[in-house]
Amino acid sequence: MSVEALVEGLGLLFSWPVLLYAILGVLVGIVIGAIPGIGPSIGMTVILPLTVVLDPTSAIILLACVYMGGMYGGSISAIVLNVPGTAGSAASTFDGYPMSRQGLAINALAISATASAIGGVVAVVLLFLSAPFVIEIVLSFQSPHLFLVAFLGLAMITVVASGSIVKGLVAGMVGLLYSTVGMAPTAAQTRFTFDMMELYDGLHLIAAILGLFAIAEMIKLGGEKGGIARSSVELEGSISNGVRSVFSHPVTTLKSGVIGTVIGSLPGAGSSMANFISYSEAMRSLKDTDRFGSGDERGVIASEASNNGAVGGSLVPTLSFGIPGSASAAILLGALIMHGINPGPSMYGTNLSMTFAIYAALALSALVIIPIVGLMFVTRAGYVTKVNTDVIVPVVVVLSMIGVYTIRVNWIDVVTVLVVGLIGFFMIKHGYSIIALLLGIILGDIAEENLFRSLQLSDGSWWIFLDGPLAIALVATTVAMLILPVVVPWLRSFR
Amino acid sequence: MDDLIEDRIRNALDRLRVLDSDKTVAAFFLAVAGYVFYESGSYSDVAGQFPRIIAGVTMVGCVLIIVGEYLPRPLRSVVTDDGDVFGTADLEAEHDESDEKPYDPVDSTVTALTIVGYVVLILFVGFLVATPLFVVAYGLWKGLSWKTIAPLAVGTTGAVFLLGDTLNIAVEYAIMAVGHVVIGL
Repeated sequence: MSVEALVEGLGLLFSWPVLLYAILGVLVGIVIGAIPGIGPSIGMTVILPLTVVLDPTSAIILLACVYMGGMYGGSISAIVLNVPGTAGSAASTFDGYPMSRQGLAINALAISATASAIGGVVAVVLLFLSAPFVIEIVLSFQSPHLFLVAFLGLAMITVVASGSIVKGLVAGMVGLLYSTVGMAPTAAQTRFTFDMMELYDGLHLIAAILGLFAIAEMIKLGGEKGGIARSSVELEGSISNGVRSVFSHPVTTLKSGVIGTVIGSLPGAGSSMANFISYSEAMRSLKDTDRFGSGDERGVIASEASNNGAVGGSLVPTLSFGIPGSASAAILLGALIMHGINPGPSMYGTNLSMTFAIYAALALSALVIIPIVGLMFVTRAGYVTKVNTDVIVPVVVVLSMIGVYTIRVNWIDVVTVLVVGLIGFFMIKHGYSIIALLLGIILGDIAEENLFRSLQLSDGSWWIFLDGPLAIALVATTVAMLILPVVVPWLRSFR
Repeated sequence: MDDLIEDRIRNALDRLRVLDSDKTVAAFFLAVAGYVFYESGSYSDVAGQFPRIIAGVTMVGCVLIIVGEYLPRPLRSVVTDDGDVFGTADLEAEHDESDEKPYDPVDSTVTALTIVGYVVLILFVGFLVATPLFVVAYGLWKGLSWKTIAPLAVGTTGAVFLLGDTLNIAVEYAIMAVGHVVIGL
């Protein structure tokens, strides 16, 4: 079945016009990722509602490729301007920017393109290799397990994402409350609708995504002074030397790709955590690390191979349980839901070919498009970083508002984008995790439906959530996740 | 004129600064959760159980955030501290310090207010009129030249028109006139 699905998935990817969207997605992603303050999340957010005119396969592959391209694009401004285009490229500034100042910007950009490509390929290989095991595990989950997994995802995201764990939990819970508006999934009764018909179908997930990632970020960006270009950028160096240096450090490159994939698969960790951990690990394990932080090419390799690895990794929990591994994965999840595809076990059952098509699209973009386009783009990279944010803000706002309105022609969605955007802005400002909020929104229906179904199965007994080794393991992991932030720093203080 | 508006906004923000804290956000969420908790009591058990549980947990979390600094030290650290499970806090802090950009709360406030104004206009005059007005207003506040503002306004309005035309959505009318239910109008 897996082989048939793989063949079908490849057929989907290489059909017209899906392949065109894959190429277009990477190109758009590179440009969007290179603009500081934008990054793949905001880019995907704005494109998401516009995909309503596309078929599901084209839409999902377009967005997955924007994600992959954006992750590479983020390194361009990190290296050239010392301002990462995405959080996943933050560690690339440590050595990438010093290389630029030493006249090696092109070397650093070529290292970034090559390491990103290899990191992306490593992730996809791991995804394909682990697919049979993932399929078996995912399909063995039943209602009580799916309910517990939803809470495990929330617990993980609050722990792994930076900030106070209580604020993370509150954000996640508020997300769950958002999902309770409208018709209850368990009974023919509407909730919190104020007798407004527009609210009967609930508050839309895409409206929340646009509010949190487009409007909140644009309000923040609107307050940042001076647009983007602060100085003229001279790009010097050699592409071939950059490419060669990646191949002369195969262990660092492959290890960073694996770290990225594994860390990326943890809900909430995403590429930002992956590239810091990978960079730390490179510093810990390599010899002669004195130059780390002042232009060591191995620092750029470690950061860049890991963040593209994290793209593939983040898809595992996203597709298997509907728990996004990162903000961009959450948007991809929103796209799946918007196009009528239910993320979760069905992605490894009836929709397996779609899952494999997404994997193959990531492989194609990592193996072919990023190296070719990325290396061609290297000498022109400076142009994108000069885009003025004052021009970007109105474009993103307008596309977000018209985009959300086109989904179901409901004025409540436009108002929701605004309100969630304003709340999201204050949440970001005061250290509340907006990814936890979004995860709560996504998991709300899954958690409520499976809670209801589980309690029906057990005649109302809550012991069903401790019935069997899998359920006990999930509960134990959730509890462990919640006490980890207390225990780990305490243990570290003894060192 | 711009300076006068800027001064007024700055004064208003200074007066509101006391409200701009994580506790205010928690208090807002506490109020929302309190309402959900109360309201869900009026639904059937099946429909009300889940929101009631979640609202209860939210309220406990919000109270912990609000009274966080008065809690005993071990509990306070759980509420306020970052766990740093992976031990990357130092590197992230190093990045955050180097990434600090000049930030003006007045510009953020004006951006937020123009977006609020845009949504109000969308509702009452429609996308096609609201969009160029919003782009021009925002561009003028940001000091963009007409050479930048004009193509930007035409481009965004054109995109709105094309999308509406492609999907057969009436973007030229006020949403409140097209929608059948109007908020109290």
